[in-house]
This record gives sequence, C-alpha cells and structure tokens, in this order.
Amino acid sequence: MSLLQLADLSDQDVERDLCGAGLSLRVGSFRCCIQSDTRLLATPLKLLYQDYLVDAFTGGFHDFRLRLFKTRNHIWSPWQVSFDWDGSSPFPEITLAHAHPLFEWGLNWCVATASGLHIVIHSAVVEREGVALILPGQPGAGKSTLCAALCLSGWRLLSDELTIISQTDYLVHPAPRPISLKNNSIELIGNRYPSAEMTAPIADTHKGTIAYVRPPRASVMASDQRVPVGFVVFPKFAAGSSLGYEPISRAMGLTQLMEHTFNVGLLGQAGFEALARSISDAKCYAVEYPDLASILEWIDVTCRR
Amino acid sequence: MPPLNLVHALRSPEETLSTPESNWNEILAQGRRQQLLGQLAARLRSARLPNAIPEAVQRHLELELVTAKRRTESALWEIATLRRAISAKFPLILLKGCAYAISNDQNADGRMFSDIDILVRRESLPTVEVELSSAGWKPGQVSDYDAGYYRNWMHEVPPMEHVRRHTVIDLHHAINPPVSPCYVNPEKLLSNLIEVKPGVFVLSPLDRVVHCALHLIQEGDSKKLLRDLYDLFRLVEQHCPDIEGTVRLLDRANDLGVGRQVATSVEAAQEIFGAVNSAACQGSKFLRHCLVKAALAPANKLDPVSYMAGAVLVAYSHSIKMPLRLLVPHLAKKALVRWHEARQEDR
Repeated sequence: MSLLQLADLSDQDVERDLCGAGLSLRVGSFRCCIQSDTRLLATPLKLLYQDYLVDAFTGGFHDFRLRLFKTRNHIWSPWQVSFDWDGSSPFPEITLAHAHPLFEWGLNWCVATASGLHIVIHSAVVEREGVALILPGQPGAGKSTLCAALCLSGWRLLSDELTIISQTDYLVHPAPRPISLKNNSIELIGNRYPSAEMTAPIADTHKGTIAYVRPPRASVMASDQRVPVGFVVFPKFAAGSSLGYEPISRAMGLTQLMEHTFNVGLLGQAGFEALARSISDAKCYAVEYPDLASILEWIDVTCRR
Repeated sequence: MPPLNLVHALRSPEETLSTPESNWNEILAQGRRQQLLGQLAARLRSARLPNAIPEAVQRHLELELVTAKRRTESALWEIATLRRAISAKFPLILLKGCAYAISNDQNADGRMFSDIDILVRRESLPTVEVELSSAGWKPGQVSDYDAGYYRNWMHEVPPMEHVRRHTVIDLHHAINPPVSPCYVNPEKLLSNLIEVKPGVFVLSPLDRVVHCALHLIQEGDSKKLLRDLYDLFRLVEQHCPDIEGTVRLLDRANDLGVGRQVATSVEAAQEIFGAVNSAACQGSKFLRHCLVKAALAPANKLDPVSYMAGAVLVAYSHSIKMPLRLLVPHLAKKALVRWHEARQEDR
C-alpha cells in the first residue's frame, strides 16, 4: 500500500478520486472511502485534511464508505445533497451549498457510532505535557471556540467533538478533525489568531454560520499517541461577570461526564467502571467565564501537572 | 462466480476465510441494510471464525454483538417491568423478537430488535391498555380513521410508546386480523403456551415457527424480508430440522388454517439459505419465487423483476389480511388521504 499526504495530491486528482472510485482517507484508526459528485468537497478537504494520509490503493476494506451525492425531488426542484453510509443516514438531504458541513457531521456520526466499544463523550479534548484536558459542555458553552484557541496556542488537538476513551487501557484515543466554529466565534478566532487557516464561512446551516479550522499539523501527525486524562473542565459562558471556578469532586465530575456520554446505555456497568477509572487521577473543575482571554489564562495557570 | 455476499456468508461462514478483504465492504453493507449484521457476527462467532477475519472487520462485528446483547438485556428488563404493570390474572405472552430472546432460540443470537410484541385475549385488551397507560406507555397518535382501522379489523392496537424510555409495545390480540380469510383463532395458540418465567409465556416452538412464517408473508414489507426469512430458516433448523419435523410443522399449520402460507415461506427461506426438505412442496411456487426475488433485490439499482415481486407480495399480503369488500374501500380511502396530504405539502 502506498500512502501519501493529501497535500501531495493536486486539486484535480482529489476531484477525480471523489467523482470516481473514491478518495481513501485515514482518519484516526479508520479508513474512509469518500465519493461525491458535488464538486464542493475537494477545496475544503485539500485545506483541512492536507496532513492526513491518503491511500493510492482504493481497494481493500474501508470502515466507512461515504457517498455525498447530488439529488433532487423533481426536475424543477433545486439540487440537494444526501449523505449515505452503507444505505443509512441520520441526516435528511440539505441544500447543495452545505455539502462540506454535511460531510463533517456525517463523518462525526460514523466515528462516534463505530467507536461504540469505547466510551464516546460529546466533548472537546486537548493535550499538553502528556495529559488530556476534557472540555464537555452544553451546546453554546463555547467548547469548540475554546478548543480552537487552545490548539492555536500550543495544545495538541485530540478532538473538538468526540472524546474517545478505551475500556482496555483507560487512555484517550485521539481522533483529530477540523474544528467547527460557529457564528461570532469565526471572527473572534480569526482576529485573535490571524495565522489560523479556515474555510470560507458557510451561512444558514441549522447551526448558523460555520467555518472549519485546519487542525494543527503536529496534532494530526501524533494522532496515534494516546494519553491519560489529567483534567476535566466544565466551561460555562456567563456574560458580564468575572471568571469564577470551583473544584468539583471526581464523583460529581463522573456523573456530569456520564450525561455527555453517547453510549452510556450500551456500555452499562463495564463502561461506567472504565470511565471512573479513566478519571481516577484527574482534577475536575466547573468554570464560569466572561470572555475567551480570561478562561485561556485560567487554563494556562491551573491545568499544569 | 459472483463475489461472496451476505447470504453466502450466513449459509457457509467458513467461506469467508478465503474471501478477499474488499468483499467485506459489501458483506457489511448488506448486513447493515438488512439488519442482519449482528446475526452474521454471531454466526461467525459460533463457527469460531472471528480470529481469521481481518481485524478492521472484527471491530464492526464485535460492536454489533455488544449492541445486540445490550438491547436484549434491556428488553428482558422491560419485560419484567411489563409483568409488574399488567395484573397477574393476565398471562404475559411474548411474540417474535422477545420470545426468541427469552426462549434462547438460536436466531436470537446477535439479533437486533426494537419493539416488544405481546399477545393478550381480546376481551382483556381494554384493561391491559389502561394498565400499560398508567405505567407510562401512551397510546400511539394515529388519525381517527387509522384508529378505527386498527380497532375494527386489525389484530393489534396502535403501537404504545413509553413516555420516558421510548420503548414501543405492539399489543396484539391475535397473530392475524380477525377479518382475514385465514384467521387463526388465538385460543388454539393459547392452549399450547410455554411458561418461561413466572407469569411470562411464549408460544410453543412449532407455533413460533408458524407465526414467523405467517408474519413475514402477511407483512408484505420487502425491507425486512431477508431478516424475517433468516429468522424462519434458523427456527426451522432448530425446531423441525428433519422431514418428520417438517411434517409436524405443516400439520400444525394446516390445523391452524395457514398451511399454504407457512409452507411457502419455509420453502422460500430454505431456497435462499439452503437445506431443502423437498418432501414438503405444499406452498405456492409463484409466491415462493416472489419472496426469493424480493428478499434478494439489489440495493442500489432498480431491478424490474424484484420490483414486480415486491408488488405481488404487497397485494398478496393485503389479500390475506382482509377480504376484498373491506380492502377496496380501505385502500381507496388511504389513497385519497395520501393524495390530500401531498397536495397540502405542495402548498
């Protein structure tokens, strides 16, 4: 098998693969084969996934064979795009212009589903000094923004969306992917980190306007390096006030983490015990922050070994 | 030779050993589409093959087994809850997936199921419905017309969903509609029940096979057809494996008045998955072909023969559920309602 980086392929090559036998991309421990006739994926993929490995050989087994194809109900209806993994899709068709976000959501869903033997938590996770910092949060808590800012200031991206903890080694398994920024965060991150590489904003998705940040090269290259959990921080955005935080017990941290765990019902007692063990050396905090700068400073000071 | 597919893998698991890795793409895709992946994983496990299967594939199979195991555990837990919700004077009779799971039928291994099907006497239906309702299972929201359809003609009430856990109960008072030309009197099934747990019953093994065979042919749904046929194949293999067993099965089916339907389904299942007991050719050859064609329809292209076969099955399934004098007005009404809804949507 010959492996290249996506950056080694020309735009035409990528487009040809997408329209033809498929682009064979390595994402974490998964092999994905992506096919799409939308002609809207090559550009964002080339930017965001340039450090990822692609397989010149498209045969063999693929964990996910994803198809994003143009479709329309009637000849007079506008074009839409559908997502398909082996004949199933959790998403309805959406307007063609949202083909790229649909791909990212779809791949998130595939990775979350296929990682079901591990503990899969809906949260951002980053690493520094050999330990992971898990940032679970309700939608709107600002975890993606925070995750992007941390990754652009020296932390290693493990994932902006899915924390995957193995039940056998209790370590976080990285699955770094592009970081999705919503609405005001796009400008906020763009201004604070002018060097950040992002896709053009895509307006009017069901999550508002979104743009994706390219994951740092070093994070992608280190995606096989697993780390133990060092910190669990539950961030909450609270406008106006100054930053406030309180340490919480691991028992409390565990209960709250469970609420963010997708497959807690599937894993049952074994999963509960594994999750408890995985945070047995972690410090847990609840933080309310008024702006990005204050929580970045707090994390920089507090989350040290 | 066509590439090894799901049916081959289920028929002869050892053949997967020599299959090229790329074939697994299609096997897994078909397994997911047909909701048979868990059963395939179980089949490979019992043939002690997983170690010979590529590691990347094993990960998906393993997950399927864990999911099926967990679903079964929650269903069994839910059954215990149901037993408490329904007063002790009514037997709790499980049908289909739950019955297979609780009686350890071999097809239950790795099998996915979502709904809980239970059977009660028609006269106890109102009381049981109230009891389920007070335990949190709310009656399904259907239109007045559909509610009437269920109440007057069907063998089940609209599905009841639990307000918090979202488990769905299909409450039956028979295994086919009372207005059906081949109505099976439930009392005949109730006289052969097997108690699996205190107060929890399943149909006798032969009756479970009969129900499975009848259900798949009266459902008329091509999407779940292959899964249903595989269930039937494994049930027959376990409960009536030899010619003598087939004779007993068909005698029982004839006794219940559904001999032809059961024979047809069994023959179709055996044609697809192997092990033909040629002694029993009592089914309809034409319908058997339709079942086979519709079950093996290719997924991503429209095949006219499979399409026609599916249409025949839909028509046939209606004809054994209701007599024409009820069916024609019902379908006309349904078509009208659908047309009306489509017009509303376009506006």
